[in-house]
Amino acid sequence: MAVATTEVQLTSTGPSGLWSWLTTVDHKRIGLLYGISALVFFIVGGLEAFFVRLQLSGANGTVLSADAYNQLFTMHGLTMVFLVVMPLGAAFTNYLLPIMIGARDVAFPRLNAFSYWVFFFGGVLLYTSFVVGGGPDGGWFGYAPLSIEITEVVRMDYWALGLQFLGVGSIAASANFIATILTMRAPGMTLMRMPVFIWMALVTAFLLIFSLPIIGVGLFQVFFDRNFGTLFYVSYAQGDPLLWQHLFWLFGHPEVYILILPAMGIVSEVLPTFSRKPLFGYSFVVFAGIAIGFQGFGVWSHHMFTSGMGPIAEAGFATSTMLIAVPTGIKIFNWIGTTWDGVLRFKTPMLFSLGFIAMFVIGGLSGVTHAIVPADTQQHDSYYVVAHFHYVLFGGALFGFVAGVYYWFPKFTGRMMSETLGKWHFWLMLAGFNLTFAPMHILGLNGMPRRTYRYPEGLGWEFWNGIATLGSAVIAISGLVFIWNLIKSRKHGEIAGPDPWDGRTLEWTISSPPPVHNFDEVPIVQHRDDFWHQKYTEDDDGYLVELEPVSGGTAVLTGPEDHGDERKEIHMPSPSYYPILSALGLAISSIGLIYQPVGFIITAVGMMVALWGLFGWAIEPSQREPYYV
Amino acid sequence: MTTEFTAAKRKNVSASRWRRLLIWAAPALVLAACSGTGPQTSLDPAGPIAEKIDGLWLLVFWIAVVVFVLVEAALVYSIVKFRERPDSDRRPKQLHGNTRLEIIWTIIPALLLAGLTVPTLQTLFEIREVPEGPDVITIQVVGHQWWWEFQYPEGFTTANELHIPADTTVNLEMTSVDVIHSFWVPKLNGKRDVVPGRMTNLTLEAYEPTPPGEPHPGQCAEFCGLAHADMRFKVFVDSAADYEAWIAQQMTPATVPTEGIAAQGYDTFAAVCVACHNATVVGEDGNPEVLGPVGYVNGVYADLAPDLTHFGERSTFGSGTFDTPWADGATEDHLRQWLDNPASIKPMSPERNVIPPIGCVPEQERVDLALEAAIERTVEGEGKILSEETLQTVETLYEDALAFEALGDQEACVRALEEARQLLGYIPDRTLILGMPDFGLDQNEITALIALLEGWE
Repeated sequence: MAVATTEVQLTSTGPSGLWSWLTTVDHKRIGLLYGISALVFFIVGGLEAFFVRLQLSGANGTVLSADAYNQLFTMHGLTMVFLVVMPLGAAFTNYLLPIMIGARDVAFPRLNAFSYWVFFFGGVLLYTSFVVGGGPDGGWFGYAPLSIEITEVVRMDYWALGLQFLGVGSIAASANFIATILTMRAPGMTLMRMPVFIWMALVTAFLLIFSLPIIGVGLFQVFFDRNFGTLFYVSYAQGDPLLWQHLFWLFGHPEVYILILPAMGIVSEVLPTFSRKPLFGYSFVVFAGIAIGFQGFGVWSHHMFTSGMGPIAEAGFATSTMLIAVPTGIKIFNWIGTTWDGVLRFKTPMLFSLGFIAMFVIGGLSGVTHAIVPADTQQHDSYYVVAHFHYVLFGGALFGFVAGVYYWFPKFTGRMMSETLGKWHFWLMLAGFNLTFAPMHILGLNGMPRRTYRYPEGLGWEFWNGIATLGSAVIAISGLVFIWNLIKSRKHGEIAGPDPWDGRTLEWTISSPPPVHNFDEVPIVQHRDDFWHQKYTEDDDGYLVELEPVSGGTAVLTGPEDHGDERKEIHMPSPSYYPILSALGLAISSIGLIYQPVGFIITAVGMMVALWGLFGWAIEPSQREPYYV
Repeated sequence: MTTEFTAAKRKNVSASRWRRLLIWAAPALVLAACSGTGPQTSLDPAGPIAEKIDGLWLLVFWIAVVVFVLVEAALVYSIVKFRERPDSDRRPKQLHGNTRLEIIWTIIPALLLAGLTVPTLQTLFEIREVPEGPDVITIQVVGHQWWWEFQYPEGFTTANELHIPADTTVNLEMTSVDVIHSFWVPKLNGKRDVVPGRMTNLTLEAYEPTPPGEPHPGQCAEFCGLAHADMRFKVFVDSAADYEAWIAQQMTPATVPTEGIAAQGYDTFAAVCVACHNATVVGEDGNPEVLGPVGYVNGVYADLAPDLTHFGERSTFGSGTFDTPWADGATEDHLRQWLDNPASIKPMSPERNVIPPIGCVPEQERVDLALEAAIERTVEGEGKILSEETLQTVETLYEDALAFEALGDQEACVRALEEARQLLGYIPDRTLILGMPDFGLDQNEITALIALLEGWE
C-alpha cells in the first residue's frame, strides 16, 4: 500500500484534486497558491484603479459617487499592497527558497500552509465588507480619528481585522523563512554563496517580523476604540491621533522595502543570467539590502512632514531619508555594472528587469525630493506622491515580479511563456505605465490633491488627467495580454526542459516542474552560482569558457534517477487539513468580534474550530506514510 | 515608377519631419509641463515663503535631472553596446566587482545628498518659525467636515473665504473639531495638517493683492472622509485699504429686514437655519445679537456650521465648491438646489449628525471651562460676545446645578445644566455634524431665503 502511494508522489506534480490543494503542505504548491491568489487580486485591484481613472478622466466626473470612489481607492491600495505585491513576494519565496538553497521543503511545512490560509481568509475578510455595507472607505492608511469616527458602519472594522489577519499570516511565514534559510541550507551553501534573491527574502522576513507587530498594536487600538469604548485616538479625551500615524508608518515604511526587496532580489537573479556575467559586486548588493533593511526603520516620519512634529524631528528624518538613497543607489549602479560588457539577451524577463531599473531610478529620484522637507510640504498628499510611489511599486516592484514570472514560469509549469506575447506585454505595460503616472508628477505640482473624487474646471488639471486615464487603458490591455499569455502557455507553451535560460542557480538543476521532494540527493555546493560553475569556467584573463558537458550533458542534472530496487526513505511532510481548519476558525471568530455582543457566540464557535485545528495539528504525526526516493 | 518613388520619398520626408517634430516637441513638452499651470499650482509662487520653497524645489529638480540623465544614459549605452549580436560569439569577461568603483559610487551620492541637506535644513527652520510681533495678524483656523472656519482677532468669523492683507505676515493657528484636515494654498505656502486636540501653525505672506474675482484657491489635502474633495476655500489678498474696509464691513452686524420677501426669508432663517448656523444681527435693542449656537464643539471654540452673517459678500458656498448667485457669471441654480436638498449636489451624511444629550457630573468641568472662556472673551471683547445678563443667568444656573448635585437631585442638576448649555451655546463632546438635512423648504421659502442672504453683504 505504502509503496503504491509513493509511486504516485514520484510524479512531478503530485496528487491532484481540490482536496490535495486544500491540504497541501508542499512549499511549491503553496507558492503557486500565493501566486494565483495574487493574480486574481491583481485583476480586482486593477479594475478598481481603472474605475478611479475613469472617474478622474475629466473635471466633475460622474462615473462614481464620492462614497464609491472612497471605497475603491481604499481597496485599490489595500489590494495592491497586501493582496498582490506582498503575496507575490511570498509566492516566489515559497516556491524558490528551498530549491535555491538545496532543501526539500521549508522548516515548518504545516505552518507554511497555515500562513497561506490566514492570508487567504484575510483577503476574504477585507472583501466581505463589500457584501455587508460597503468596502473600507477610510484609506488604506486608516488615519485616526477618521477611522474611528463612524462606528455604526462596520467597513473599517473589516479593514482593521482583515489587516490584522494578513499580518498574522506574514509573521508566521517570515518566521518559517528565517528558520529555513538559517538552518536548512545544503552542505556548502554558506551565507555568502546564497543567491541574492534568498538574501533579500531573508532581509524581508526580518523586516516583516519587526514591523508587523507595530501596526498590529495600532489596529487593535483602533478596533477597541470602535467597538469597546476605549479612547486611544479620541482627541477631546486627550487621545493622540498622531500616535496612530507614528505606529502606522513605523510599520508602513519598512513595508515599502518589504514590497521592493524581493523584486530587487529577482532582478539580481535575472540580470546575470541574461548578461552571461556574474552579479557585479555581490557583497555590496547584499550589504546594501541589509543596510536598507536597517535604515528602513529610521525614516518613517518622512510620511508626516506636514503633521506638525516640529523642525528638529523633521530635520532628523530629512537627513535619514536622504541617506537611505545611498544603498539604493549602490544597487542600481551594481545592476548596470552587471550588464556592462556582458552579452545581453533580451528575453522577456530581461526586458522587465531593465524596465525595472529604468523606472525605479525615476521613483528613487522623486523620493529624494520628498526628503527636502519644505518642498515636500507642497508635494505631500498630492498626485506627485501618487506618481512617486507608483514608479517605485509598479515600475519597480511589479516590473520585477513580472520579470520573475517570465523567468521561472518554465520551472513552475515545465513550459515556456510566449516570447512574442511577452514582448507585447512589456512594451504595452511600459508605455501605459509612463502615460498613466508621469503626468501625475505635473498634476501634483500643479496642486491636485490625492483621494479627491472630483475636481472642478479651471484649475488646469483636465489634460493630464485625460492622458493618465488613457494610459490606464493601455495598462489594462497589457494585463490582458499577460493573462492570455499565462493561460495559453500553461497548456501549449514550448516544453522548457530543466534549464531553458542557461541558468546559474540550483533550481535549474532539477526537472521542470520539480518533483515533490525537489532533490533526490541533497546537492553539495561548492560555489556561489554553483550550477553555472558546473557548466562554465573562466580562463586566465577572466573570459567565459564553456566546460565539456559531463557524460553526455545530462549528468549535471540531479533529476530523478533510477535507483533500481533500492529505494531510499526520506523525510517528507504529509498533507494536513489542520492548517486550513485553524485559519478558518480564526476568521470566523474575528467576524464575530465585529458584531458584539451577539457576535461573541460566533467568536466562541470560531475559537473552538481554531482550537480543534491547533490540537489536531499538534498531535498528528508530521509524516503519516514513509516517502521513498 | 516615378509616382511610387515620389510616394516613398514623401513618406520618408514626412517620417523625418515627424522625427524632427518629436525631437523639438519632447523637451518643449517637458518644459511646458514643468512650468506651473492653473491658479492652484505650487510652481508659480505668489509670496515669499512659497518662493523659497519653489527655489529649493528647482535646485533639487535640476540635480535630479542631471542624475537621471547620467544613470539612464549609462543603462541605455550598456543595453545598446553590449547586446547580443547574431554574427559575433564574443565571450564576456567575468567581472565580479570592483571595490574602487563601489567606494566611488557610495561616496559621491552620499556627499551630494549631504550637500542637499544644508539648504534644506536652512529653509526648513526659516519657514517653520512662528512669526511674532505687533505687525503679525493671527487668525484662528478651524477644520470641519467639510468646510473651513476663520476666526479673526477682531471678533468675527467667516467661512471658506479668507481675506489677508498683502505684504503682511499672517499667522494661522489651526485646529480641528473632528478629524485631521490639511490647509493648503500652494501659491502661498506648503500644506500643514489641522489636527484635533493640537494646534499647528502656518504662515501666509503674499506679495500682491489678488485681482478681483481671482482669489488663490486652496483645499484640504488630508483625506477627511466623504466630501474631502469638496473641502475647498479661497484666499483673497487685499490691499491694506481694502483689507481695512473689509474688516469694518465684517464687524457690522447684519440688518433684520422688516418688509418684503427678505423678511419672509428671515422668518425661515430664524426658525430653521439657526439650529446650526450663526448670524450676528442688529437686535431689537440696537445691540449686536448672535443667533444660533455659540460655544465649544468637541473642546474647540468653534461654530457648528458656517457663519452666515455676510453670506451676501461671498463668491462661493458649500466650502468653495459652488458659485453664489451674485458671483460673476453665476446663476441661482446651485444655491436653489442646495437649499432644496444639499446632499444632491455635495456628498454629506446628515443622517449621521450627532449632538449627544448632556449628562450631569461628567459635563460639569466642561461647562465650567466654556463659561470661563465666554466670560474671558466678553471681557476682552473677542470672539462671540454674550450679554452681561446672559452670563449672569448662566452663572446662576450653573451654581444651581452644582447645588442640586450636592443634594443628590440628578434630574434637577441635568435640567439646570441643560438650560445653561443652551444659553451658553455649549455643545457637548462627541458632537458630529456631517451634513445639512433636507428641511423640505418649498420654492417660495427658498426664494425668500436667497433674497435675505443676498442682502447680507
